[in-house]
Amino acid sequence: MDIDFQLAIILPELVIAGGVIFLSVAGLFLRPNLRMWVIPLLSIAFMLVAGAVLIIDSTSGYGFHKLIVKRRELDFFKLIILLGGVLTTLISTRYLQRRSINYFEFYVMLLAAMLGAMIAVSTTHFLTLLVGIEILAITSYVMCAIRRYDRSSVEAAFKYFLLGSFSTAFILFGIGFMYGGTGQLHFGVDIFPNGQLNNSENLFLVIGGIMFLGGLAFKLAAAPFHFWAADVYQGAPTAVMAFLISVPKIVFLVIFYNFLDSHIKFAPWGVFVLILANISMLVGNAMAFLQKDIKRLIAFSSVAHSGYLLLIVIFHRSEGMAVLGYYLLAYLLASFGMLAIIIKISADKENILLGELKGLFASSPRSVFLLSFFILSLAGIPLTAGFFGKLFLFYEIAPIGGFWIGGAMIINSIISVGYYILLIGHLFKRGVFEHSVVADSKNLEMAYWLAFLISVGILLWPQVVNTFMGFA
Amino acid sequence: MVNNYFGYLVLVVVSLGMASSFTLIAVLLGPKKRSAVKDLPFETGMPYVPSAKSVNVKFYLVAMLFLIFDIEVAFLYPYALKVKEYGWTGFIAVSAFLLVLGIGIVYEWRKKILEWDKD
Amino acid sequence: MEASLLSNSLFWVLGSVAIIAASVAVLAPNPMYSGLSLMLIFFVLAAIYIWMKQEYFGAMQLLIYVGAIMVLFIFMIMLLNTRTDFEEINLNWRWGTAFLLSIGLMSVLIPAVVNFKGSLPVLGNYTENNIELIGASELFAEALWEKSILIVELMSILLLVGVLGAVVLTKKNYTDQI
Repeated sequence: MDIDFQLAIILPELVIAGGVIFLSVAGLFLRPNLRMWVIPLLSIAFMLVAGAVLIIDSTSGYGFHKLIVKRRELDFFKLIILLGGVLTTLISTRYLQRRSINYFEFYVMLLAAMLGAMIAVSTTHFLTLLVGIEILAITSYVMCAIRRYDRSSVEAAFKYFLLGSFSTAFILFGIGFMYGGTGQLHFGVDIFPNGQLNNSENLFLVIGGIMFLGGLAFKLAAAPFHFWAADVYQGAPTAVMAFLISVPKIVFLVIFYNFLDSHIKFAPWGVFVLILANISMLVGNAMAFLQKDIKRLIAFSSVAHSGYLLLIVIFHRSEGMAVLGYYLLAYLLASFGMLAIIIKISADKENILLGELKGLFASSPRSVFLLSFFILSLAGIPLTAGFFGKLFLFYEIAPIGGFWIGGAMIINSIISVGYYILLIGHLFKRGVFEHSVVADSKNLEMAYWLAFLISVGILLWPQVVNTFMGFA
Repeated sequence: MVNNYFGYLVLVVVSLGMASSFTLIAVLLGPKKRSAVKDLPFETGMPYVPSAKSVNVKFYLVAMLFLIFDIEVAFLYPYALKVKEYGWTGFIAVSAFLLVLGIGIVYEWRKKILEWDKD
Repeated sequence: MEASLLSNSLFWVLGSVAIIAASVAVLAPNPMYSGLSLMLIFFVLAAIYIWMKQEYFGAMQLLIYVGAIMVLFIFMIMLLNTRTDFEEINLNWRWGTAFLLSIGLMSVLIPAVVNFKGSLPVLGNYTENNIELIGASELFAEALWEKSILIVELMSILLLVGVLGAVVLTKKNYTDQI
């Protein structure tokens, strides 16, 4: 039996897979009152161990007949995916207990989603990619519907499920076309001889690639395939929304990057992604002005962020991964911090309208301070991590993309500042804040302080990503 | 080609022939008394209800679980073809696969999914 | 292979059964009959696969489509409350769309089949010679359990997650205290 058996390559994934299996057994045999805190604790422990393995173990190479690849740049993305998982666990424990839906399956799903995300990030083979995406997607549907006695949550999950399956079908169809065109299931830079894919005569390849990228854009919520995003995020549990707008975004952008890495010269795909990027920036920023619900506003701002990040997928130099990594890390921390605070200030209600934020400053000034910090970071105001992210992004794309691409990004960023400032304005309005604040959750506090501290950390030491990826 | 499947063809013909001949013999030889009540579809002694109202979601769950373990079997067929050649390495690989799905069975058992008459 | 495909009488028998069953599936007023004739199509397809020496795909056609998909399909029909729901839906406008779609599909497929000459490029070791020598199912086994063992193991996690998700979302009166 001819197996290319290299466990060292998939060691972090093995830890997480072991965690999935262990937790699903442990959850069955533990008493409910014990299970309540043991399972989240174990799930965080597994993620931390996997993260430690990722930091320590800097081996690289292919394994399992080139089904999976380990590179230092990809390790960084896996690390921030795990950070997202830890933060999701921290903000969900109390949230789920309050609604008495603290199913241990939620944490198993979260851990399995981590596994799917890590597999999808670290592969250059279509089938492994597909299985990774599907594990991530199915667990996301379940987590989205975890408030199963609540109509809006189930509706959001059902929308997400239908459109998610639809986009998976597109991805699969595209893969089929590309396989028919080339007879290859690998798409890695160093496996595929350069030029073999850059053949625009091959109609199968052109159409297949565009269907594949379109399906990925669906999952990424890049306009014009974004229409599900706001509805799903609005209905999803807030703790799950934090996961949904950050981790899948990391995964699909890295897939975009891996796929297009050596094939940028391949005109039809590059143009398609460029159109997606520009429409996303415009639609996301324009629609965000119209939103009354704070979760919908964040959803549209995430569409705009997909747009900025798709630009770097097309226009980048050899160290583009570091820029993408820094931006995504800043974005992930800001989204988690923001949504953690929103969970904190909406103890009795799932969705808060912008007008209902009045008087928040009087009742909980610390929340307003942190929330403003994270909003400014998303907006990219100087002296935040998000600003450095946008700055690096601009330096990376402007020399290659030229005047118009750099200008489009700058103008869109300036437009976006408008609604972020309006949002902050609502926080400082006078009045009486009518909702109750969660006061008894240490985990929630830990989550947003962790997000705050790491944000400040990468602000003071922006070179950390380059150093980790070995670009120095 | 014909030789490989000739036995199956005989089996199909014989079984179809037996089934249809039994039915045919019963129709031809049996006594027949028709009435309005007898012509109604037979539903275990209950009066015939034309449409099925609101099916229990349990059916859906069972169908879903059936589908999942069906796909598991789809993976095992190719392994069975080469089980001797794969030896112990293959055995470990297939055991890992089955172990994970075995947890699925244990989960169903502990969560009492398979007990039909409860709740 | 292709020449023998069209000249073989068995192919024409199976093909016409498939076409009749497909017409019944589309035209039958009762969705139950549609479901049952869909099952017949799957059976015929399985027979064609086996006849083309793709025994594994024939078996999978029976196991997964006839066995599993049909179970789901029948449940779907039952959930839709057979009589009333289907009669209330006005299907007339769909005929035009369906007609246009099938004309479009036919205009692509028929030229493709008629103009097909020679053979498709052979990928990997899945050649006609190897199929004759080793067998298609054995070749598939090699690809699945040797080249893609990682994917198989990942599939087991995916299926486990599916079991957990189906139970947690659909079990009656499920609470976190069980």
